Parts: sequence; C-alpha cells; structure tokens
Amino acid sequence: MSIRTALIEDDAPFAEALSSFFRLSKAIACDAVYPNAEAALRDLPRLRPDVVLVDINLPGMDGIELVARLKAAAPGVLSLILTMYEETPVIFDALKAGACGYLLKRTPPSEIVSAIEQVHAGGSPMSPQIARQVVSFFHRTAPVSENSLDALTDREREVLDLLSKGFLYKEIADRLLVSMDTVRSHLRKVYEKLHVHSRTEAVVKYLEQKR
Amino acid sequence: MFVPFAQRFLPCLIVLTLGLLLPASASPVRFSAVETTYHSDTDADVAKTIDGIDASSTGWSVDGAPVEPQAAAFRCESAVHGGRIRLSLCFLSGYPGAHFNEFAISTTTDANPSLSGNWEKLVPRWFYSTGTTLSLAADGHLRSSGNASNTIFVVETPLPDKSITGFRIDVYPWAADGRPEHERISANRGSFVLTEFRAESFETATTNVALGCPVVASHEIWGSFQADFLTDGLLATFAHPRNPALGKAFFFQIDFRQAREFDHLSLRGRGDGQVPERLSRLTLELYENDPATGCAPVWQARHRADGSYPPPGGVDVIRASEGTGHFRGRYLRISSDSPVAYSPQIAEVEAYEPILPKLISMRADSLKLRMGRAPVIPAGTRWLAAGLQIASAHVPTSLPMRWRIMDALPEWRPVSPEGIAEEPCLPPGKYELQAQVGHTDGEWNDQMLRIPLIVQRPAWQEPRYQIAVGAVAAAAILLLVRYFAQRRLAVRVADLERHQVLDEERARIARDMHDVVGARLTQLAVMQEVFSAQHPQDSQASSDLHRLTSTAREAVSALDEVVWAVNPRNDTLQNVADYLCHCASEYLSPLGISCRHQLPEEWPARQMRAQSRHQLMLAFKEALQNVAKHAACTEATVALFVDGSHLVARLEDNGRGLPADFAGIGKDGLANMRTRLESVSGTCSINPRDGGGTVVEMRVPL
Repeated sequence: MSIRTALIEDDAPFAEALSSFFRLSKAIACDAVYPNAEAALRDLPRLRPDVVLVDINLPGMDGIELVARLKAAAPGVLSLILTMYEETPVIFDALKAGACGYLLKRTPPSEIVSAIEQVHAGGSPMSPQIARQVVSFFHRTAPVSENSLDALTDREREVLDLLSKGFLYKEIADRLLVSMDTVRSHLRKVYEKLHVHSRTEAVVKYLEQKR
Repeated sequence: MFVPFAQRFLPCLIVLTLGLLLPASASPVRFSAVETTYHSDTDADVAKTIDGIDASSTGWSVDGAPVEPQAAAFRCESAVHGGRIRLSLCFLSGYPGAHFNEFAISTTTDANPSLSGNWEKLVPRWFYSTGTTLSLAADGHLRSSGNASNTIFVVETPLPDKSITGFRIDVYPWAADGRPEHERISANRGSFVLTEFRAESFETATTNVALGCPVVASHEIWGSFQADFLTDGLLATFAHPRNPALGKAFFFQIDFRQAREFDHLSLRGRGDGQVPERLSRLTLELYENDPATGCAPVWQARHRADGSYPPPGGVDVIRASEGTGHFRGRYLRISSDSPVAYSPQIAEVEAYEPILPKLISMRADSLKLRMGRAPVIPAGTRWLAAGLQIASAHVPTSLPMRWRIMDALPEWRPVSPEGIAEEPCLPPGKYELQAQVGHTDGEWNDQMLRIPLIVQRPAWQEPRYQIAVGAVAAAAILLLVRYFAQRRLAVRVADLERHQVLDEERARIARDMHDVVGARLTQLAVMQEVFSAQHPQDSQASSDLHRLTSTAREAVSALDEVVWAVNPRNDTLQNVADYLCHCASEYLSPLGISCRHQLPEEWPARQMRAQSRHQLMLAFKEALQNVAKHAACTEATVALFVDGSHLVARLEDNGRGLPADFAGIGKDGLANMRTRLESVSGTCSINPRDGGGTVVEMRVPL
C-alpha cells in the first residue's frame, strides 16, 4: 500500500520531475499536483491524501497559511514543508502552523521518499536548529499554559535538549537507552503540542498579521 | 615851540621804522569824487586833485578867502580797512606859498561820504613836507611853517579797524608868528591850489596793536619828549617824567582805542645805553574802562620787582601768567616804584593780540580728509599734509607759523609760506597737532591751535575687528562643522539607505537566481534519478551521471549560501548561529563525525551585516573542510557566543591535533580564512586543543 501524496508546487517543471520520480517509486502515489494553495484547499478535504508536500512560496496564499487551513479543513492530513531555503524562522512558523517537518528541494528525491515514509510512520524529522526554536518557544509559552497536557514532559525536553546540541536521533536513542522510534514519537508529540499552542495563539496571530 | 624829534632824526627814523615794521607793499587808494566847501575854479579843475597826476596848474583852488576855514571830502572808490595810510598832499602849481598853513585829516565810515556826514579826526603819527616844516599841534592839527613854490605834505598814520569810505581835509587859518591879524589859510595871502590828493594804504606789517595808540602821562614829561613816543614805533624816542621823584604817583596810560585780548606786552627801554636802570620795579594794570572813573583793573602785574632792568636794546616780554586777572582791557597803565630817579623811562610799549592759526585742510596721501573735531587718518597713509591759515582778520598774511605733533614730533617745525605743514605719516595712534603763529616781534603766540589726530590702525590690528574676525571665524567654523556634520549624517543616511536598497536588491537578485536557476538545477537532479530508474546503465555511466547530479546539487547549495548571506532577514545572530550549526552538521555528519553545538539560550539583539555573514560562513566552511581532511576526528564541537563586540565562532575537534608541518598543510586554508575575516576586520587563530585536537577560533566584529 503506497502512501497517497499530493504536491502543492507552483514551479511546474520541478513538480513534473518530482511527480515523475514518485510514479517510479512503489512507496509513494502522487495523487494530485496543485499549482497554488487555493486549488489545493478546495480539493484536498475531499481527496484526503496521507501526506501533502507544500512549497512555502506560492502565488496568492502561501504554504504556511495553507498548512494552517488544512489542519482545520482536513485534520489527519500530514503536511511536510518543501522549501528552497534553510530559513529557520520561516520553517518554524510552518511547523507551528501544523507542519510535521520540512524538506529542502535540493534533497535527493530518494531521501524525500524516505522522509515521507518516516512521517507517515509517525516520525517527525527535526533539525537541531528547529529543536532549539521549539525549546525556546515552550520556554516562553509554557508558564502561561494551564493545561498540563500541553506542557512538554521531561523526556521530551531531554530529547529536544540533545537534539538542539547536535545529537543525531541514533545518538539520542543510545544516550536515553530507547529505540529510535521512541525518539521519533517523542518528537511527534512535541509537534502536536506545538500545534496546539500554535492554534491557540501563534498561528492565529501570524495569520492575522498576514492579512 | 619845539622842533619835533621826528623831524630832526628823519633819516634814521625811517631806517628804524623799517626795522621795526616789516616791509609791506603799498596799494593806491582811488577816489571817485571830490566835494568842497568852496572852490574858485570849475568842478573839472577840482576833479584834477584825484586824476593821478601830481603836478597841475589847477586843482582845488581857493583864491581870496584868507581867513575862512575850508574843507574838501574825498570819496573812496572802495573802502580801506585798517592798516596804515600814507596821504600825499601835492601843491605843485608853481604858485609860491599856495599851500595850507594849518590842516587836519579826518575819516568817515559813511556809506556816502559828504561834508555834512560823520567825520573822525586822525592824529597823524608821521609827517613831513618837502618844502616847509610841518608840526603837530596839540589838537592834532598839522601846521606848516615856511613858504615854498612847490611842496608835498606827506602824512602817515595807522587807520582804525574800520571800513574807511572817505577822507576829508580841513584847512584852517593860522599865523606862524602867532599874531591873529596875520592868520591866513595859506601862506600866499589866503590862496592855495591842491593839485593832487594821493592816498596809499599799507597792509599792517606788524601785529603790535599799540602802535600809534594815544598815550597820556599823569604828570609832565621831561623836556620835549612826548608820551606818544611810547607808541610811535621808534626805538630812538623815549619818555620819562620831568619830576625825578614822583615814584608811584607817575604813570603812562595807553589807550588801545578798544578793549582787546592780549597775548603779550613788550616793554623796551632806552636804546642808547644811557641809564637803563630807569626801567625797573614796574606795575602794569589793564583796565576795561577809563581808569579815571575809578574802576578796578582787570589785570595787573609787577614786573622786575627785584630792581633788575633790561639791558640796553633789550625787550621785556610780559605774558598773562606774569599777572593776575583777565589779560585784556582797553587802557594800560604803567608806573614804577623804583627809587631810581626819573623812573619809569620807556622807549616803546607794544601790545600783541592773540593770533591763532586754523586748520583749513588735511590730506592723507592724495585723500582729502573730512574736517571733523578729530581728523581720522586712514591706516596705511604714508604722507600727511595740513593746510594752515591765520584765523584772525586784518593781520599781516606773512606771519610765520610753526607746528608739531605731540608726542611723536615734539620739535617745532616751520609751516611753509604757503601754509602747508607736511610730514611722513606717523604710526597708528592718537596724537595732537599743534600750531602757533609768530608775531612780528618774533614772539610766538602763547595760545596755539590744538587738533587731536587719530592715525588709524590697520583694520586687522583693531581689537574690535579682531574680535569680529574671531567671531566670524568661529561662526564660520561652527557652520562648517555643522554643515559637514549634517552632510556626513546625510551621507551616512544616504549610505545606509543605499546599503539597504542595495541589500534588498542583492537579496532579490540572489533569490530570483536561486528560484530560477536553483529550481532548474534541482529539477535536473530529480530528472537524473528518474532517468536512472527508467534507463538502467552500466556502472560507469551511472557513476558519471551521478557526479553530474552532485555538481548540480553543489551549485544549488552554493546559491543557497549566497542567498542566505544576502538575505536581510538573516542578519540576527540567532540565524547566523543556526546556519553555521546546520552547515557543520550537514557537512560532518555524513563523514561519521558527531557534531555538537554549544550556543547561548538567548542572543543579544545585535545584527551582522551581509558581508560579515558571508565571509564568516565561508571561513567557517573552510575550517570544516580542514577538520574533515586533516583532523581524523570522531567528534567536533561548534561553539558560538558573543564576546564584547565580537561574534566568536569556535570549531573544536578531538583529532590528532596540528601536524608538525602544519604550516605546510593548513597554510592555504588558514591564509584563506584569515584573508576572508580580515576583509571584515575579523581575526582567525588555530591552536592545539587541551586533551588533543585543534581549536579554530574566528572573531568577527558586530
């Protein structure tokens, strides 16, 4: 059973090349390619793919807003940001808006495929830079949070801390004497808590600012 | 009856007079009309008395009027003012005795002189006749003794300071033998012919105002001497009391005819060397009004109170300071309490009024100065000339003047006869120009002209100018400083704006390039994978194709770096740190080198410019390459922090440390890093790490 995927990308040649690669791979089924956010937002709630790859720079509505709206319009659809640039603030904004991870466009296609598989399997790719942002984000917002479920657990903090210091997933797993899947699932929870916070504050604010 | 002294010593008198009075040229006085009480011939004959021809057979003729006084009035063409007058009465008709026996001269100031007008008698001072003997009667009339066929009476006298418009001759009957029955108006049985009446005026050649003034004495004078001798201008004539022991009771009194101010009085003693001691212990008193009325003197002085006396030929000059009171008046009384008999014995009394010069013009080089209270001589003047003139009217124009400038030129120097005083200009400062007039007796007038002079300092030497210049300079400097400060600010602002615009533009271009070129290259990489999957190749072709793809990815990566560096959003330290850590992990992790990050939790809100970011990133990558190539390590640590005003990026590895030939191996890399960092004023150092390995530390100013 291949992972059903949709691609939102305005660069038609690149989208064509990537979707051609997906067609060759058995793991990924590229169900749809949208050149803009508006078209995707209209179709996707009905299409309900497993994973969407969202370019940040889109004409009209941008990728971050699309992620946030999809979170509401099609819950359960996992969003991966596909970006040209290693711009942490922008990526972190996307993650707060509900994305489960990000990929650089120059990543070799085979790695893109494996990343999609990981996300679909419940993992959450997170770079040390993003981890630092997340730590900092919860450091700022946690004290005002009343719901203890929304706060990070000690283990999650530990994982984030190691991650932010440059440790690899495997190294974190070795240190904490857990499996790499456990590390991934911790990070997924961190994403979800980030989304909860984001929905209540940051994303709304961000979306307001965008208008 | 006495023979006039003047007549006896006539030749020597003339010489002495000339010696006392400066020579002056005569100007003829012309008459326009004659009026007579009676004349025997026609009016035309009478007019011949003023035709300029001395000899004639006719003129003013009176025939057969032996005892009747007669008169003739002569109207001047233009008025005569002051000075001396010489009148010549010519009787050159050839008739014996046809000349006056007794006559008097009068003057008038009437606008239209006529016999019925106002006339004032002149008392002649000098007179002579070429054929008869003239004498002065007590009433001022002149009498002629003797009988001549042709004779000329010459009368000379000072004129009062008035405009004389006419002269009058009164002829009286007189008899030389004193017998009334012999009294006739002429020596020729009462008939005379005045063939010419001639007048010449002389400019006053002396400033002695006492000359010719009436003198009286309180008591009788010795012998034939007369009190008038004191003012006759003749040094040879003198007078003293007849009584040897009158002492203080005796006085001479001179009437100056009007109240006058004086500069000085001069007394001359007897000139022949006989008994000069009679001029001593004098009292001089000046009266405003006739002292006979009992009024007090306005000025008085004791002169030679010690009993001394002037040497023969000497002159005593008496100035205001010698007495007390106001040095002025109309009457001068001179007495003596000397025990020497016949004191005082005086030859001449002279009186001099103050005469002042006046400044009429002033020139500084060729510039004519405005005559204010204090002439201001412009700075830089080289030659100074003052035009001076005598201020008083009716004084000899040829009086000498002298001048000096206090305190620069204290020596008196003569003013030229043209009235010019000139000198090279003085240095800047305040001075006083002084000028004096010399009297005809050689004495310099006490009172002098004093004119303050200011020689200007060159403008740049004036304190107020210097202050003004200073102020202006300060203001100018201030303005300049402000101008340049503003300009610099403006330039900086413009610079910043330009930088910002440039940064944004650079970012836009980079992004566009990245978007277009990067997207195509990325697409190329993906297409290669697709191609490889669709068209299986041999390993060599596959490997070559893969290298092509890698090159494309490297190109994208390089573009990424540039975009990152120029993107203004990445100028926060947080972003710089994130990016460098990301680079380290991305570069080292695939090589099996664990990468650790040591970063502060919070970064100060400092910025790092694009240029610095880019150079730091390139240097950092160079360091990463060195670690990968040479360190042979298992772990690397990236530490980033702010130290003062620098961002420090430290890359540590646990490898084998610096090789012995480090200089050779790492040289190029280190040199590159240093060059890059120095271009943004940064530094780079490589040192061994404690516990093995190497530490590369890069510092970039913020």
